[in-house]
Amino acid sequence: MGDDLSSVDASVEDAALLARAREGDTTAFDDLITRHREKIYMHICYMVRNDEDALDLTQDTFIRAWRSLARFEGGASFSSWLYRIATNAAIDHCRKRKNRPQTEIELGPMKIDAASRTTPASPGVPGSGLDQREIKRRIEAAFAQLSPEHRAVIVLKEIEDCSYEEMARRIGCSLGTVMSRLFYARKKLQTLLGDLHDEI
Amino acid sequence: MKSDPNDPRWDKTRALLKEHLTVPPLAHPDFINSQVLEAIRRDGKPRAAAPLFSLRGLAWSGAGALAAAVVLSVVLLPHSLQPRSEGEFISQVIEARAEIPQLSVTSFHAPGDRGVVLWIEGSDFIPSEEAVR
Repeated sequence: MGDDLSSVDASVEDAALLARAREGDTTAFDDLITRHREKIYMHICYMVRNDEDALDLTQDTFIRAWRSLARFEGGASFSSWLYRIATNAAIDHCRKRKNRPQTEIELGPMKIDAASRTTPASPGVPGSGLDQREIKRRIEAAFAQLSPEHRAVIVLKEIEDCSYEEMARRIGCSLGTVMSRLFYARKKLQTLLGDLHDEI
Repeated sequence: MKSDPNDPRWDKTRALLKEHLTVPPLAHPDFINSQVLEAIRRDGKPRAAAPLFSLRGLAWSGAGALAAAVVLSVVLLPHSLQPRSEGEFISQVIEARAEIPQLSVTSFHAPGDRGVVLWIEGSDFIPSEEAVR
């Protein structure tokens, strides 16, 4: 209930800032960026798995939103509309990157402490043959094999805990499409990670 | 292979995703604001929506086309609707006769009608103008 109320308040504040931004008030738009930048960045970063690309795409999302402010009809919340722009930008980026050779998951630079010991920081799970880094590598590799559309539904549902309706709004497609994509995305991940359950 | 969200195996997969599919926090959030604001200052005000074919424009175009059709109909149609005098016809049938003996030609005039029916018997085809005068 409290969350619902705060969400309504946030939408009302967004609407007021949006009205000013539409008149060309960049300060209002600056406030809108501040309110949404963190979530939009995280959402994109989950999808593209590269923090620098995610930063560029987050900026691109807000620039696109500014250019399309007049076309925003207000039927959905500003947040959902922003997510839709971000998701489309991330999907486009993943499609383009698919054509580039890619060997490693590109998340963040690996920081090595010169004074550190050579033993792994995160030891393996007792009684299992896989350490945490290997599990992470397997999960990243499986996720990288999903299509951009499937990545989007997995991130929205399993990481960000969205409802199906909110997912449909954020992706910009029907409820049936969302459920179908989610079904196949889960199925593919289960296939790719099935043996991981036995090994852990 | 099931992908039922209530499937215990999927619960395990979901837990693994949540634990290991992580992203680094946004390091310099204000950098986004400054970059975006710099870009939009170059752009100027948000662009007004001006689609090439607006709904209002299409409605006016349709109304204009309809009005033009009505005007043209009023101006042009009366000539063709009024009955013509006989003098306006290019040719008139005075008498019909066949040059070929096996043909018989009969003409029917209907007073008030705007035409004459020529009834030709004795042929499976329409004869040439020379055969029927």
